[in-house]
Amino acid sequence: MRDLRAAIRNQPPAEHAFDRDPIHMPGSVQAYGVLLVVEPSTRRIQFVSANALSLLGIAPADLLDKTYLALTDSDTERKFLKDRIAPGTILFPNPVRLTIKGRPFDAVFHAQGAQHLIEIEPVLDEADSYSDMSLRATAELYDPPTVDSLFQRSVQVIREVSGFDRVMLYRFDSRYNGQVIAEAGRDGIGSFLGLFFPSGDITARAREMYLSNFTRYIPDIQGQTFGCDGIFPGNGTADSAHPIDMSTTNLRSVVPCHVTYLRNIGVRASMSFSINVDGRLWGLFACHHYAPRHISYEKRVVCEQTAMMFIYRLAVMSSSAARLAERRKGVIALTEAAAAGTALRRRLSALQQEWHGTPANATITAMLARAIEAIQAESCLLLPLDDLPDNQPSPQQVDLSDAQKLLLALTESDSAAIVHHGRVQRIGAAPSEMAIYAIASMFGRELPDLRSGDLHVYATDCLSAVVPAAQDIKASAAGIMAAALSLESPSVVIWFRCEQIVQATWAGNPSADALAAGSDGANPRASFAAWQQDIRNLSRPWVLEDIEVADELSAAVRSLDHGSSDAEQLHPTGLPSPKVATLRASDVGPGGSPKSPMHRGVIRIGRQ
Amino acid sequence: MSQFEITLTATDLASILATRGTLDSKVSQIFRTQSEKALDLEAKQITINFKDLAILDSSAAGMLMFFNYAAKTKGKQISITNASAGVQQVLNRANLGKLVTIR
Repeated sequence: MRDLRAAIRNQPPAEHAFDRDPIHMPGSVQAYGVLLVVEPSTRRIQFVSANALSLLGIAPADLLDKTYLALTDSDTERKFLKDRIAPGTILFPNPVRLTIKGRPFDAVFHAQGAQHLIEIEPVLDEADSYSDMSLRATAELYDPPTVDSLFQRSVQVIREVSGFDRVMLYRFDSRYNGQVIAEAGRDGIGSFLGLFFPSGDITARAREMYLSNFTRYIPDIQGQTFGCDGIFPGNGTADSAHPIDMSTTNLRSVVPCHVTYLRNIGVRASMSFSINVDGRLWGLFACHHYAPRHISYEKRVVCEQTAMMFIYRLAVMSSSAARLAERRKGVIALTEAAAAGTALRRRLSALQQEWHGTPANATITAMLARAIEAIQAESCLLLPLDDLPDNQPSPQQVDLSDAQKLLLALTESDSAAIVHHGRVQRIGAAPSEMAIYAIASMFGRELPDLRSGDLHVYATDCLSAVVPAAQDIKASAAGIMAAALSLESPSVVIWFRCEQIVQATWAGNPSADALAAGSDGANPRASFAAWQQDIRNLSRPWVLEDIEVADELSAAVRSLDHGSSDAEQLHPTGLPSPKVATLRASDVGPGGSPKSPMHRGVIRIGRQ
Repeated sequence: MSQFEITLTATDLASILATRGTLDSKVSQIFRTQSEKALDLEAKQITINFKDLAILDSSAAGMLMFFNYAAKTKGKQISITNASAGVQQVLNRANLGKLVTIR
């Protein structure tokens, strides 16, 4: 199955030396809980973290290779575990309350490959019940009047539930720089609202893990770290014979670099919840506390569920589905207009040939040619440049036709161009014809070939990263999206987006040099002082909706094109085929007089 | 475009919402229309049958939380049945079992 996401080549985030560190296999856990790795069919413990003695009162050696059912003092709890958890269990009744040596614990189960991972942490005394907290959170997010109020209510809910000093809603741009767009915090700690944080603050691996594990919880960055003992040789780290993949866990220890980062920012406890939209990390709820902060599993669940309700409410309130439906209507309208125009053009072309060679030929053929051209202008998004007065205004000054406006609105673009066999049709404030022609001729060379393979669309929000010379046109075309209009001939529609300069205030210097200073994994950046540096060279990023619409329009136009080609090839006369006759229409001036061969022509969608 | 179908059948005792395809934010309006009808019916029990549901995303999990809230305010109970392994994984990550009965 085609994945249209692959056609989006927005400028990737800057790469950092520690991006691929195996942070999901540290072989150690944080101090607040005990990790068990078990074989599901026998329930035997294969790995246990070394803090089992201090937290559970049982030495790791007494747990290894024994069933975890023996942990609990209670037959009822044991029966519950037997009844509800088995090999193949996916839905776990988390948290499972266990009484171990007379003390209550919460056990949270995860399936990870062929193993079950169990995180066991002491039950914290808390007044609020899960049901009450959940009900309040849902009520708060049920009907916010605006998107901004949704943002603000969400951070307030998470702050009320978690009790953290500061809760921020952090939104990523296409390069994973993050900006704080909402904040709730206690008095006296200042504000991060509006600040940007560079992509290097969250590694590529961490971003990937956020897509499947929605919570990261670090109750005390100064807490001790405990390794794992196992029945296998090695310690469960990434390079051992039996590494433990802790991607699904919360207990996973924190890499030293991140601990130092949090210390540099002055934070003692940290917690975050991912916001995933359409399979991409849209943002985070990031919580900071300036002292150690332990909260119950159930409170974390309420926060995580708040993030999920936020995602749904955001999707509904930003009307992305409605906008996509509107765009699809636009694709249909354009395609129908193109189909109607094509049919009419064919009929007129046939008439043109009927008149060919008759005494009235010159005048009538010219009139028909102009009629054909007018139809195309109306139905095929084309601007009849031939009709412009001598002192031609630039195309951007000319009122766009409804079809042209629709073409831009479909993809929320600033301008566009249609390039067909080297001829360029500009729509709106597009770059010069020469620049557009140069871009079109790069497909199959510097840019992907749109006529082969599965993907006939391409988008980037930073053309100058691929084609450095495009720096010169970034004002009108920092980003482009292109779609093939034919697979046989070089026909392409290109949409352009202007450079969007973001005047950013960063939490520290985001430059490569400053980040490189911390790229050894042990010394992350230490300065978080406000730093002004604009984000340049990028357009608004292209998103999946854009590429879907471009792909649909491309396919629809290509299907029209295919429908016309056979008939045209089979034309029985020895005369120029309708396609040639139609092309020649633009060479005829008003009154039927031939124009200069240099006169600009009209470029049409589809094969001619 | 996500492919999604939902049908509502009802008796005096229970309403059943049978789903098929992909349940995500793009089709949430379709789900909401049918689920609101179920809330207006007499039956106190609403069962969402996920037998033919291939994909459920995080936003849909959030939507189910709101649906459960609306049902509770009307004195109704929600349950989910026949979820595939993939859908169960999302339900598990969302801890939805803490809010509704999943069978």
